[in-house]
Amino acid sequence: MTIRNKSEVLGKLEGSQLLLSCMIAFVTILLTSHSITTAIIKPRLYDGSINELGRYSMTFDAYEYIEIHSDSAIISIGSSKMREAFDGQLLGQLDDSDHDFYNLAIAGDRPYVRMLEVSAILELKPEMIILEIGPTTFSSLATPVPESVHSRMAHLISLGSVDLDRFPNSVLNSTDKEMLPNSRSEQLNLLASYVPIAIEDTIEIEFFSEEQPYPCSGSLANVRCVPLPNNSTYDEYLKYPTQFRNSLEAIKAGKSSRWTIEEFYGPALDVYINGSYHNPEGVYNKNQMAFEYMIKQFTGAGIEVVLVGLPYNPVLLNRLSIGQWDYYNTSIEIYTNMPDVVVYDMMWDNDWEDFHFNDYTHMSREGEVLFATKLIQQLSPLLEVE
Amino acid sequence: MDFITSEYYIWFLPIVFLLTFTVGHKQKRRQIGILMVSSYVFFWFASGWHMLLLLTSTLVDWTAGKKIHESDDKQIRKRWLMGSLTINLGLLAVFKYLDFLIESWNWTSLRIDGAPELDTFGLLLPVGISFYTFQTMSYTIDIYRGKNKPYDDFLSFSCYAAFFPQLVAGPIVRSEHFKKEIENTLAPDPMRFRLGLTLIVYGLAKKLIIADNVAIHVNEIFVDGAPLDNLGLVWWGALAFGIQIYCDFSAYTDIAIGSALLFGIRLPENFDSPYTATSPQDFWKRWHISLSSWLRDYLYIPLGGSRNGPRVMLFALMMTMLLGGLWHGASWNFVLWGLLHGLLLIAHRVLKRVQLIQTMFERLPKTAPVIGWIVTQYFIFMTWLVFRVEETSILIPSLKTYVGINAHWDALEMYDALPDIKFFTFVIAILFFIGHFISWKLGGLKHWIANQNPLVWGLLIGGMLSLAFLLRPAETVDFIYFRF
Repeated sequence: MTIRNKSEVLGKLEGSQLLLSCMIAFVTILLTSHSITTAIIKPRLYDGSINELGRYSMTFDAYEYIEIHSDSAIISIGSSKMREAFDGQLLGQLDDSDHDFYNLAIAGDRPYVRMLEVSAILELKPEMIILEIGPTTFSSLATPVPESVHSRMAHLISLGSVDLDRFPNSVLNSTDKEMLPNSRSEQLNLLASYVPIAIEDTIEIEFFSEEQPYPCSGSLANVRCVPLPNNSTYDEYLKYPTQFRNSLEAIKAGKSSRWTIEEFYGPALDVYINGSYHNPEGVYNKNQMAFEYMIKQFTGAGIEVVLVGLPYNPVLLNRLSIGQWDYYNTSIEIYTNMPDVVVYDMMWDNDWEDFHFNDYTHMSREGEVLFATKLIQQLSPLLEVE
Repeated sequence: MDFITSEYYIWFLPIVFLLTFTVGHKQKRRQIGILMVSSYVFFWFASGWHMLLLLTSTLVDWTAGKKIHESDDKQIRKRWLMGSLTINLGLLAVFKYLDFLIESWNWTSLRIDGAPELDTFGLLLPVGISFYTFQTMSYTIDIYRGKNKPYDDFLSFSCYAAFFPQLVAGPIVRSEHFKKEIENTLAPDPMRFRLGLTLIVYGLAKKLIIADNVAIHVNEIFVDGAPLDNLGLVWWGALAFGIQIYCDFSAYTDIAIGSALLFGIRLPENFDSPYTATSPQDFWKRWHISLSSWLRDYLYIPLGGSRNGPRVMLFALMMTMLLGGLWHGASWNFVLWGLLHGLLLIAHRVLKRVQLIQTMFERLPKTAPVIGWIVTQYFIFMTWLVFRVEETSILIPSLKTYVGINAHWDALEMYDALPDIKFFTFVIAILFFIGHFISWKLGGLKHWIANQNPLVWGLLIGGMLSLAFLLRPAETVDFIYFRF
């Protein structure tokens, strides 16, 4: 038996040709990686099929889009409460000046996570940033951060090629920093981990599904779904993203299989109201430091910052223990005295009734309209001055 | 450190390359010294203190080889040979088979009244021991037979025994082959360098894209509770493992040959499109060639080979395959695997003499090889079940289902039993077989790629490398043959 060695049949090759070969291979690696990321991973991140919430994937593209398409952008940042309250299209209609209002709030958002986008927001140079301030702004966050928060942070860092070294250790905890993907290769590794499942989903959608699971073109029926930046609905979506359905209305009408109204406003509310995410920790913590870091970065860049305290369902507010949110109220006072920052706290306004909400915290359509009316009255003087 | 860790490519390989061609520029002894020391460093990272076993094997065979060559006395020569074989096989027996023998004894002792139960030693299997002991043993045996002369210096011999690309999982290199490769001062050659890069990238792509992805399916199928009476599932499991083991092992070989080529050293091929084999004999000419040729030269022929009548031939064949099976690992399933391959080879030799079969091959020169291919591959993939599954509670139902006993077909059940990523893996498997066929037609796809112009080469290699990075699963799997 002979052991064949086919390398013996090789031809000649000059050193320069070897160098050229390697250079072409290097360029091909860059192009292939970029093409696969764009053509396969991104659509699946956007339609929410390979991550918990597609909307997390859109922020950096959104900033880029707004930078190109708007000269006078006003962006709102916050949690799902802000996302469900801020109708950028309605605000645009109510506003006499020529501003574009974009809603870039994300469910489950925390200042400690959102600060990762500061550089991208500064590059976009919006005229005004409306930052949600609420009990969640001061909520506790463990070190190291929990897995779900870590995954969101790692995801954002990788998608936005965020340089973590720009954050001082006093703001981004060194333990957390060590666990996050800082080098570009670590970030690419994370994105690459999505490829097999993204291809699987693409094959399933293209060849086996009768309809796309999260229809992105035309109807925006699913909150997990985000249209791609080249979609005609993208601008509309960024101003007024897909909203949660009105759970409260269904509960009141007895159409909820989960709760009766008594249960919803009874034991379920007690559990909700005591969750750590909905309560200030009461100390100067990671979230608050990150929040102040963002404010300083924005005001330092000459951007108008408006802090908006969003209201909660009054049934919930009436159930708060005495002093439960005192830290929030004290902080509001402190920020009111901060230079270059405007604070508008709607939390304790008496105008809010439970029909303005879909549940304990998220606004119904009626709530959105009232919120827009009240907000634009506060913003108008600031916008006119500009 | 191994061939799928980034340290190997970012640090180890570039540093050794630079040292070999700068510090060792045009100085052969320095180059060999650098390669030898680097090989021990590599082995230290792979296996720690087990490198002392490698050193022992090296010293024993270096001394035995010298003494055998120097002596004209048959008895002395034989004593040195037996000494070398005893130490080498003794190390293998202790570190690889002792615990297995004790466990087998304990299993038997349960069925014999009063038989004592023994404690196992819990010895860790030294990485690559099966490969380097076979390699150094062949050196001593060849000198004893008068086929080869010993190496001129210890440095070259220890470099041969420890050369890092093939140290851990082969290919098993013959001493004369390596001696010729290091005869002259090593000099970087652009064509060999590019072929080396091609083989490394080709190997990485096979390992990370194909082997590691299909492994996820294999691991999910052969477990307790899986519907192992489902014909489709078991066939797919056998097929997937066949793909995994080939891509895993041949990838290692490609990277090993590629790494050696960067230094201008050629290692022998180990695979030649094995899934195109049209008979069991043909399969063993294409699968793990360096081991099968070793077994032929140092076991099958000494046991009598094919020139001493059919009975001796059958005995030699069966013993060779049984021991070849056991070489893979200390487990009964490997013995059974060897036994099945022995039976297949015997059946093939018997069937070749049947008049009807001979007539069929004469009258149907195109169809008959296709039938031969289907039958051969059906049984080859069946033997992979035995190779993969150690637990009899899983192996027996799998084998029964594979041959259609108590089997049923249920596509939906099969779909549910597979991991979340299904279609992607099916596509990979289909592309593998297409690639395997093309490679067979071209006489080696990797060599075809290596001979392309810079543009085509750059596109193919760049594409393969980025796909290997992007398509690999979240967790890579150790090379299967590291265990042997």
